[in-house]
Amino acid sequence: MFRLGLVSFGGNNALLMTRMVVDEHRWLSPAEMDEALAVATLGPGGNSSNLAYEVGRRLGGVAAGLTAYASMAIPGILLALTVGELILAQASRPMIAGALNGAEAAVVAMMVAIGYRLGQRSLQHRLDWVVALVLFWVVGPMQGSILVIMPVAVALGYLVRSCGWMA
Amino acid sequence: MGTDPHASGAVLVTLALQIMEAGMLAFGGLGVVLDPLQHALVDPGLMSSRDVARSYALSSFAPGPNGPIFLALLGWSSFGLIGVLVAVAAWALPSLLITHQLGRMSNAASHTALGRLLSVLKAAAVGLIFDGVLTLLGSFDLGSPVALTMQVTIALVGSILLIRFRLNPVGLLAAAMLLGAVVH
Repeated sequence: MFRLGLVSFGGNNALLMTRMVVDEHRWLSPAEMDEALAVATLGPGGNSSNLAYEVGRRLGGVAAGLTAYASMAIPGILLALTVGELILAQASRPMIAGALNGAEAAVVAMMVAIGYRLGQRSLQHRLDWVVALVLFWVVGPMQGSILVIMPVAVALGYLVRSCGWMA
Repeated sequence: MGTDPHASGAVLVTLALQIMEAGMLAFGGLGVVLDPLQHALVDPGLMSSRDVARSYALSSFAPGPNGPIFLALLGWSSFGLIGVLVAVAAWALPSLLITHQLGRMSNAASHTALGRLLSVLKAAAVGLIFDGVLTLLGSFDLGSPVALTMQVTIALVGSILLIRFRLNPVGLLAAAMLLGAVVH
């Protein structure tokens, strides 16, 4: 997690963590990782730190979760406190700004890949697509409140699925 | 506000409560609560707006999760090490408690009703992940056609390479930063 914390620019490291936890070490199955990712995305706060906690908790309980959370955050905190001013002073230099632009674009690609990966396994019914698209549209382009729309969408989706109206 | 190492416990408690409230509502990440949090800290004089702006800028450039880094810098700027610990703990506590409960619930999802709920939650998470993509796309460098073309190309080609060819994400990150530094 400490290593991931050092290379997780943009705050989203779900794909990196999935590669490490599922593909390299096989600590969690792909289905378990999907669940952890869903839990982390739905909780408040940052997805990456929530995911670190949830993966740690599944592997070794609360203490492991807290250790994973801290390991993810500590490298960035130490770097920001020690050399942050230097980075900030250099950030307007074209070469540094260009590198940061490149990193930002790479993070977009990583998020698309993890969204695709989770969607491929999770969007099995028409209802799942409806829930995903409604949340995407209302929270994103419509700028709706996630606090309002998420519980409503999830509750309606659950009811519809329970009644078997949309298979 | 400045750096006062002898800040009273009452001020720290107030700071912790304000951050905790923001942490509880930060569905979607730090950006969602940045504005109300700034008002909650600056208006009563707990922080200066300069401290908040500087901390946010620094946290954006640092690797790792923005929220804890931003709060650590805020805590440090006014209260030193104890400020770091209080601010990060106050930010982390609500999200960890809620994540913990959601995680425990998903562990028990073999039960039919919970399994159904988890399926809906996963679908919701897919929508929110692509909202994150949309937010990041909005921060692309629109002022420079060259930079914008490079970013769009990296995002498109990178997505395909990651999905179809399972490219190492760290390799993509390094290549994208290198390309960005060269084509600026």
